[in-house]
Amino acid sequence: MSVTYGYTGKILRVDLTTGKIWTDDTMKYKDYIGGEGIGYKILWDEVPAGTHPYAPENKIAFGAGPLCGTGVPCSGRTTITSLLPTSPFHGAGSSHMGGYFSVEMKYAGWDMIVLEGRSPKPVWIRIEDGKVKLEDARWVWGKGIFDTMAMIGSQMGKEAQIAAIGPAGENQLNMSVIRTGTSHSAGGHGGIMGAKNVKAIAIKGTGSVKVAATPEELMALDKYMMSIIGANNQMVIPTVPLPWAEYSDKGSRWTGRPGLYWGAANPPVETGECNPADMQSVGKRTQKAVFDLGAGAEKYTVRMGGCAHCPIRCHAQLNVPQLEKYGMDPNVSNTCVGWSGPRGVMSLVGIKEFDGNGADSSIVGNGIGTTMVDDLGVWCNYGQIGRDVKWFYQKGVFKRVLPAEEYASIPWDMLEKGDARFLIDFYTRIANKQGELHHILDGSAWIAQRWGLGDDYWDAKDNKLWTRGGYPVHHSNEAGGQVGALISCFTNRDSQNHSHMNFIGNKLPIALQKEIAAEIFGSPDALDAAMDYKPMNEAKARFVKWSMVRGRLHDSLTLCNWMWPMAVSPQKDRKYRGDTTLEAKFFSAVTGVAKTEAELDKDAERVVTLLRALTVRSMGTVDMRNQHDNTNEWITKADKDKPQFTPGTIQMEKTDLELGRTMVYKLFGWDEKTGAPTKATLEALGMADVASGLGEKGLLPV
Amino acid sequence: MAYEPGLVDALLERIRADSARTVLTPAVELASLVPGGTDAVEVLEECAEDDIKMMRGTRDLYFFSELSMTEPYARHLYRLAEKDPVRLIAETTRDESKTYPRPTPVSTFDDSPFSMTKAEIDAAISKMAFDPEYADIHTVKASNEDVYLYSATYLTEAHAAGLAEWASVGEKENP
Repeated sequence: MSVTYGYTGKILRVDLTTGKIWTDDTMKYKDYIGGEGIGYKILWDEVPAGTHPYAPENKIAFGAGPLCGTGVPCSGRTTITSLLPTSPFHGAGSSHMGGYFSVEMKYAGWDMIVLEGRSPKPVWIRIEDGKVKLEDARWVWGKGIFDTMAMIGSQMGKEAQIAAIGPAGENQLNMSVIRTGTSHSAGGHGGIMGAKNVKAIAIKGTGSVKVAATPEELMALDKYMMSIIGANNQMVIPTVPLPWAEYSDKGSRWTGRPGLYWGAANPPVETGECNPADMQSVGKRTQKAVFDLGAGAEKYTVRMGGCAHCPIRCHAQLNVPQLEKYGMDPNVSNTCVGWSGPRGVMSLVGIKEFDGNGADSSIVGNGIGTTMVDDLGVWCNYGQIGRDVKWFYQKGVFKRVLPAEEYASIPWDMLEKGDARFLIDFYTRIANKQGELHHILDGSAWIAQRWGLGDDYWDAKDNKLWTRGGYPVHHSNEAGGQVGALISCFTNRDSQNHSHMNFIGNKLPIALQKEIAAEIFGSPDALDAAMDYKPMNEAKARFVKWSMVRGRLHDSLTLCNWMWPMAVSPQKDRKYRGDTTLEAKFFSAVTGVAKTEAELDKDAERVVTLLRALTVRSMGTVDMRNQHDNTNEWITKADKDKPQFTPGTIQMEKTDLELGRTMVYKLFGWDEKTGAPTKATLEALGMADVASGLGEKGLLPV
Repeated sequence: MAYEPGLVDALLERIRADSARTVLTPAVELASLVPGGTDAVEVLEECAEDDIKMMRGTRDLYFFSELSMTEPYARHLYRLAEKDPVRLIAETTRDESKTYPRPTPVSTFDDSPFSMTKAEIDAAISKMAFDPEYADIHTVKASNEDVYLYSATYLTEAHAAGLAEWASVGEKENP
């Protein structure tokens, strides 16, 4: 095989039904970049429409891209692609985890691992470089993920990277995760591992990833990148005024500042000035514990953790001794929704003082929540589980649908009092598939059918459900008005797109943001001031397309879309400009295949369009506009006292959103009436096989 | 005008040293560095290098070096030096309502570099309500009880309320 730079050139294929293990050639999929793109192509080629996610015929791909394992900043992501059990039509989608798994996979010589079939008994997959073996997993089946990792780690050695499921995945619950490291969870595909009888994949790699550029060239690019990078979510200004800063915002994730510590470190570490000129303090910019959990978390913070090759440490690692009282490890770690998702179940009244934990009850409660879900492997559907619990409790749904005996056995008094011990009972029940309650993990689309939920459920603003597809907002209309709204319309789960959010949420003044938007999208009107949204325009459509394309690009390369793209920077000397060509620069340097920004975006556009084709095929209709891309009513009706396009509302306008859809369809070359990819567009993207496949099923727009 | 050797350098050095430890240099404190009959401010107006900037307050003139602090940060220090908490809060609020635009959390002022006590903040906001000079400054509350200030010159009440709710509640629910 010829030398491939960036790629290992090999995909590991495992048929769990037969135990057959073989190697596939990555480079035959190179038009789809890597990671998510290749995963979708394998689904397109090999998984027939109508396949159930838990059927042996479904496949699940653990993907890395060409930049993973090369030291490019923020390149430690793993993209997992498969059908989505939560989707009412089992559409395709990706879930993602950070950590070190994909890097180890590359070092072992694999760009991707694809599992198919169903093992006759529980197994875990041992991968040591090119040596792959299915191992009996009956001795870890039923265990939580923490024990599973420790026990398999004892067989593999501490340097192994492990991805595993907990009881929720084993029980084939739709809202379950695959987890790696202490806190990196990919939500939505845990049940597929369970259905395949695979408890874990453990990898040790002793190789490396070959890079086309010289070490000096790559280091120079890395160094340049380090001058552009901000804090978590590419926020580029600090929370408080600092001498070096022109701007500040209390809501910024650039929390590092004099007087703020990793308080439980020995000795405590001050985050300090974090001047952007000081490259060595980049890792201290984001003190995420206080951002996610409040000021009280400072004294429990040991340090910030994160993913391979990422200078932004966004996972808060805490030592909370009180957790031992609940049989839990005092060391607990997570970030963002990893904290807020589990604790969201307490949102009826929030977490109040409980069990003698006093003023630190919230920290202890958050620790309980995240430990439970990380061990049992439960997914929150981007916070939906908490909103659902609140709604079902307040509206009497639980009382109506749960058997009386089951209802009476649940400690609702704890929920009402804000006692976070409720989370132990709740998650134990649902992850272990106990009673009717566990169906809350079916996902909104399925429980709406099972529990007879009506329009009031879907259309309640506080429920934040975006479509009848069963997924919620995720930087939707609150993130750039129509820009975020439209981005959320084209996926089969929460959009998980931060390309726009990393731009909109960078916290710079609006005038500066508009200047930069004009340079990238051709008009300052691509961006409105927050909550002062103006009608749809072409520049916003370009912003939408760019965000979608970059999201797929990052999940294919694999780069962290929670940091990339680098549209802005913290550098006053650069007038806060970032560099949107950086992905292409790194791709060219690593692979030796010279690509411009536009060329690489075009490759990612192919991935966007392939996902669209998969959705058309799964739904069996070309009418994406009416059958898929529409939104729940609250998005256009909730703020009755605040008309659309007046300051203070994120309410959208129906006709305006339809216009937005038309503009986006047009930019992607999709049929403007239906929103489905046309034959001409597919062929122009080099996807004649996809056009042919859709044509055979009568799924090309006429 | 020619000054005695080292005089200008001494002034610049003092200002840069003060800025490096994040304090402004009031003109009154420069007087001791110049001979009798020489005005330090005049010297600096004539001979200061590009990084040296001046702010004119009601109590004094203040100097800082842009080598160590930005103009917006110096403006915060200047407002603190002027010892008028009402004006400090109002002008900071106006700046933020105009620039970002966003309402200003009242908690901003108990944090660095302002470090005001709750009593000082409460007193300033209460006094503001009775002074026509600050008629544009209003308060708005998020549903979690966080209080914000905004200038009606730049933000409507509905806009300020929406932004405050997002900053205090929405953004935390949608991280």
